[in-house]
Amino acid sequence: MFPQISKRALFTASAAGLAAAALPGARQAAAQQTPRNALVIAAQIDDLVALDPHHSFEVTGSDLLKNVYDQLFIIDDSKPSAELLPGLAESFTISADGKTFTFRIRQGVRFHSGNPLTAEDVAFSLRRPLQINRTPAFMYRSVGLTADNIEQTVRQTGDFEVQVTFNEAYAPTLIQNLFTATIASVLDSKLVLQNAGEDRGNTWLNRNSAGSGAFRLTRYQPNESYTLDRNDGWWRGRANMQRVIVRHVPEAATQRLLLERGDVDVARNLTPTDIAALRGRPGISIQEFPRGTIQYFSANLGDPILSNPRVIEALKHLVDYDAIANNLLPGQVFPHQSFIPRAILGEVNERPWRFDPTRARALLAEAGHPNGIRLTMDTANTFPSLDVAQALQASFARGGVTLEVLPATGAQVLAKFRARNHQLFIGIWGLGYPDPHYNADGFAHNPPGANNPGKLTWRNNWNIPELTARTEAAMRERDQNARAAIYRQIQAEFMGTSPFAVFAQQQVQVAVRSNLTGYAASSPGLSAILWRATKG
Amino acid sequence: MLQARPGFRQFFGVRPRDKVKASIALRQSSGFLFQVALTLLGLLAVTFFIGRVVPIDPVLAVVGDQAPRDVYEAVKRELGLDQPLWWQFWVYVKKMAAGDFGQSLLTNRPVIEDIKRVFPATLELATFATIIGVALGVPMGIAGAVWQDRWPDQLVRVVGLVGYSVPIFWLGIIGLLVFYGILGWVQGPGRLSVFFEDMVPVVTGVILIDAAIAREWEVFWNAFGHVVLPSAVLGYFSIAYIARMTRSFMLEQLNQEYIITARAKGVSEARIIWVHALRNVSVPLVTVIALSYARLLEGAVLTETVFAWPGLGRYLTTALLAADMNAVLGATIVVGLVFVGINLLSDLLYRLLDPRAK
Amino acid sequence: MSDHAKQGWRARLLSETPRSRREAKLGQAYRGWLQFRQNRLALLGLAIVVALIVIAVLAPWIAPHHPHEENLAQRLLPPGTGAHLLGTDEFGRDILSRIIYGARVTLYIVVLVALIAAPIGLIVGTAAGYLGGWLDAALMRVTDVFLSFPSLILALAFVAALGPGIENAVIAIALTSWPPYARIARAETMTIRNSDFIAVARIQGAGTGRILFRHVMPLCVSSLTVRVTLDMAGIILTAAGLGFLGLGAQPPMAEWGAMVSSGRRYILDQWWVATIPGLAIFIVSLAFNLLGDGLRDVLDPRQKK
Repeated sequence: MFPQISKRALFTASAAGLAAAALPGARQAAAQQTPRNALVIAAQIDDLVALDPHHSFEVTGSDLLKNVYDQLFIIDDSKPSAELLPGLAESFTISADGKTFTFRIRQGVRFHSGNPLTAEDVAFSLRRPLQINRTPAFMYRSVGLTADNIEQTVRQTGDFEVQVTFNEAYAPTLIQNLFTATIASVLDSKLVLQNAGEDRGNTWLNRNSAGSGAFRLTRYQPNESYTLDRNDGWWRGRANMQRVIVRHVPEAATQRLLLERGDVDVARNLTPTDIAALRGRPGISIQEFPRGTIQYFSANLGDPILSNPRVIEALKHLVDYDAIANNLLPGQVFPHQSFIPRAILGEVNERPWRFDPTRARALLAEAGHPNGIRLTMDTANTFPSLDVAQALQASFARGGVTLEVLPATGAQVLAKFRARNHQLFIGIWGLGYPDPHYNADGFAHNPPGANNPGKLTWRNNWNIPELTARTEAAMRERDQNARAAIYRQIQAEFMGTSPFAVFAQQQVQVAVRSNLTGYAASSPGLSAILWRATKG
Repeated sequence: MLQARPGFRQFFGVRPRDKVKASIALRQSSGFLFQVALTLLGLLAVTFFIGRVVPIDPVLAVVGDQAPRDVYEAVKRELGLDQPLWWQFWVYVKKMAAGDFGQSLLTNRPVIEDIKRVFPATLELATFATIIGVALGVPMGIAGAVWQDRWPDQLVRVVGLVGYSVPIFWLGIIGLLVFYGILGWVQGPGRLSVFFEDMVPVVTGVILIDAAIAREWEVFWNAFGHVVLPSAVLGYFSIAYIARMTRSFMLEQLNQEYIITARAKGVSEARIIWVHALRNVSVPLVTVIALSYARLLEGAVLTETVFAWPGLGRYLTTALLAADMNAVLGATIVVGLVFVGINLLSDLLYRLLDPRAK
Repeated sequence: MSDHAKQGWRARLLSETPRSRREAKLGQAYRGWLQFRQNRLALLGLAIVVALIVIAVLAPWIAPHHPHEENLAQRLLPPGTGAHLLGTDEFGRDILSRIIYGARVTLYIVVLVALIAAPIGLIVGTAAGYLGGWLDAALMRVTDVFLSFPSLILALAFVAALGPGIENAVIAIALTSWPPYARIARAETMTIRNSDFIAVARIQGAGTGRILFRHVMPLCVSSLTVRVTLDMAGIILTAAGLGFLGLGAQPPMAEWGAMVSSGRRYILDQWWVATIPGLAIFIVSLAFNLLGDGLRDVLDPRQKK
C-alpha cells in the first residue's frame, strides 16, 4: 500500500540534465534544476546523533523527526505564533482534580508499516522515554512521570483511549505543548518490539523509522545525507514532494555554490554576507523564519568578582546589542533580552539594557574596580558564538573589562560549564517544546539542593528560591492570561538581576530556488515543515 | 652528488636501501609480523592514552547539553567509562582481537561499518590524486633534471614550491568557485549528485569501480565529475613532492658513468632519459610515490571538509573532537595497516624492479 | 683605501691557508655566502625572510591601526577604502595591520617549532644511530609510531588535550614534526659512527655524551638546518590548518591561518578577507622553501658540482 518510489523513475526525471552534466566539459554554465517531485536541501547535519525520537535532542533531529513521526498535539504550521491543534489525540478531558488527562486517540491512522495506530502504541510511546532514560526524559520527569510510576501513571483505558495522571494539576496548555515535542512521538510498537534488542529498540530506531508521519526515512548515512520518502496515506493529507533529500555540506560557501548551480533547492546555513549577495539574484529568493532559540552569556556567581551585582550590571551595559543584531549577524538574529522567545506565550519585548560604557565604568568603580577587571569567556569555537565573543571582547574593552576568549570544541566548553569552572560562558539555548515553562525551567528554576548540572541556573550558582516557587506556580496556572502575566513578572526580575545577559533571538535565513514555495526551515512548532513544500 | 649522501632519502622520509632489504629479510621471518603487531599495538596504546587525556567528555557528546546528572551517570556506566583506564584498554584490545571494533558514539553504528563507508571514499580520492601526481610530477621532475638550472627547471621548481606553499583549503574553495561555480566544468561537492545515490549496488565501496561493475556509465561519469576537482587539488601537493624527488634522482643518474658511456656510444638522448636513467630511478621513485600515497590514504581532512567528501580524515577528526574513542581507534588501526600495507607493496615492487635485490 | 682594505679582507677569507681556526670557519662561511649569492631565487627567499623579521620587530611602529581595533560599522570594506589599504575584515579590523602583527605570530610559530622539534629529533636520532642495539630499536619504533600518525590528526589530538591556543598549537606541531628529523640525524650518525675521527676521539677517552654532543651532532646540524628551513612552509600551513579547524590561535590574535579560516566564510563576495592572509602565507612559505633550496646547495658539501 505504500508504493516504492522507483529510483529509476526519479532518475529519468532528472536524467536529461544531470547525465549530460556528468561529462566534464559537456556541461553548460547555466543553472539546472532538481526534479519537480523532489526537494534537495544542503545543510549542516553533523550534529545529528540520534534518530530515536525518544533520544534525539538536537534541532537537526527534530527537523527530521517531526516530519516522520506524529505527536499527540500539533502546532498549527500556518500561524505565525504557536497555536495548538489536535494531533493523534483527537480530544481530551481532564478529571475534577485536574491531574488526570484522558486522551481520545484518532482512529483510522496507519503507520508506515501498515499497522493501525491504537492506544496501545500511544501508551507504549509515552512510557518508553522514561524507560530508555536519555536526556529528553527530563521533560516528562518535570511533570511527575518517572520510570518507577510510569506503568501506573500511563494507562490504556480503551482501544483508542489513554489516561495519564500527573503529580499536580498542570495548566492544560503546558501538557498539550509538551505533547507536541519530538519526545511525544508515537511509535509503531509492534514494529519496534519486533526489532528491539536489549535496548528497547534504541539502536534500531537510530537508523530506521517506525512512525506514521508525512514522510518515512528511507536512507540515512551519518554525516552524509538522509532521504525521506512520502507517506501517501498520511492522515493529514499527502505531501507535495515525493522525496526529500538532505545532504550534509559543512561549508557555507559550498552550500551557496550548490544553490547557485541549481543542484540543490535550499541552502540552509548561509552567512549574512551570502544572503546579502544572493538577495535579488534571479531564480533565488531569501526566506526568513523566526526560531525559538536565544543567545545569551552568563556569569558564574560563584566567582568572587562576578558575585557582585554591580559587576553583572556593568557587563550587561557593555553589550552592543544593536551592533550585534544589525552589523555582525544581520538577518540571522534580532535583539531580544528575555528568556521567552517571541511567538511563545508570555513573550516580553521590552529591552531595558542599552550599550553604555560610561555607565559600566561607573558601576565597576562602585564595585571597587576603578581600574577595570579581567575576565575569561568560554565559547564553542563555532559560528556564531565565537564571533559574538569577539565582538564582546571589543565592546567590553570600552568599559574597562579585559576579556580573554577561550574557544574550544562544543563538548569541551559544555563540560566546563556543567562543572561550574567558567567565569563567563556564551551559549545558545533552544526551546524543547513551545511552552514558556521549558525556558523558565532552565533560566528561572533552581530548587534548593537539586544539584542538577542540566540547569543553567545551577551552573551559574544562581540561588533563587522565590523565583523557583513562582515558576512552579506558573505551571499550575490554568488561566492562559494569568499564566502569561506570571511569566512576564518572572522575566522582569530575570532581566534585572539574573546573571544571564540574553542579547538576541535567532532567525533562520535560507536561500531557496524561486520555484520552491511552502517550505519552512523553522516554525513555531520548532522544526522544519516539509510536507507543504511545492515546486512551481 | 646529491644522491651519494646516504642520508638523503631519509632526508625526505624515504627509507634507504639497506633498511628496505632488512625489512624484506624480516618479512620472511615471522619476526616481521611480530614487529607489525608491536607497532600497531603501540599506535593503539598511544591513541588510547591521548584519547583519554583529552579533556573532552564523550558522555556529553552522547547526552547533550541539558542532561541531568542521573542520565549522565547512567550513560557513563553503559560506556564503561567508570572503569580504570588499563581495564578499558584491555577490554578494547580483547574485543578488537575478536574483530569487534565497537560502536561509534556519534553515528550509533558499528565502527567497522563506518570505516567500510568512509575508507573507500578516501581511497578513491587518494588514488586519483596520486595518479595526477605521478602523471604530471614525474615528467616535470625529468624536465627539471634534463634542463637543470635553465628555465624549465626554474619553472618546475616554482610550480612545485607553489604547491608546497598554498593553504589547501583556500585552493579548494577557489577551485570550486572557478571550475564548478563559474565554469561548470566539474560536478559539485560530495561523491555523487544526489539522484545518482544508491543506483549501483555496493561491492567495493569505490563508486567508480562499483559503477563499472554494474555498467551504469551515467553514474560512473557523474562520480568521475565529482572526484576530479578535489583530487586535483590534493594531487597538486603530490606533484610538488614527486617532481622534486624525481628531479634529484634523475640528476644523480644523469651524471653516472654509464650514461656518459651511452652518450659516447651515440644512444639517443630520449632513450638515455626514458629507458636507461628512468629504469634506475624507478626504484627509489616507487618508494617516494608509495609514501605520498600512504599519506593521502590517511585522509585529508581539510580537502574533505571543503568538498563535503565523506572520507576517513573527516571521520577521524570529528570522532577525535567528540572523544568518540572507538571510532578514533578503529580509524587509527586502518591508517596503521595502510602504512604497513603500502610498505609491503613498495618492497614488493622494489624487488620486481631491481634485479639486484633478488 | 677602503677598497684596498676590503680586498685584503676578502683575500684573507678566501685564502687556502687560514691563519687560525676562527679564520678558517669564517672563510668557509664566506665561501658559502658567495655560492649562495649566485642563486637568485634563494636570495629572494632570504630577502623575504629578512623582511618578515623586520616587519615583525617594527610592527607597532609601522601598523596603521591596532590589530584588535574593531568597528562593526566598517566591516568588510574592500582594499583601498579610506584608511584601510588592504580593507577590513568581518569585525571591521584593518587587514594590513593584522597582516603586519601576524608576521610576529608566524615568526613565533616557526622559530619555536624549530627550537623544540629539531633538538628532540637531533638527540633521539643521534642517540639511536650512535648507540645502536635495543635503544636504537626502541627509539625507532617510537619514531615509527609517531610517523604513522597523520600529522594534523596528531596535532589535533595534542591541541585538544592541551587546550586551543597558539602556544599549544606550537607544542603540538613540534611534537608531531620531530620524527623525520630523528630519522635524518640517525642516518647521518650511522655513516659517521665508524669513521676514524670518532674512533680517535674515543681512544682519547671522550665519553659517549661528549662524542655525541661535540663530534656527532655538529655534523648533523647542517642537513637538519636545510630540512627545517624546507619544513617551515609545512609548519605554517599546519598551523593554518589547525586554525581552519578552530584549534589554532585564539581570537582576536592576528594569526594568518586563522584569518584565512575565518575569512573563508566571505570568500565568494569579499575575496580579500581570506585571500590577503592566504597570500601572506604563500609568500612566506615560498620564501622559506627558496631559502631552504639555496641552503641545501651550500650546506651540503657532497652536492657541490
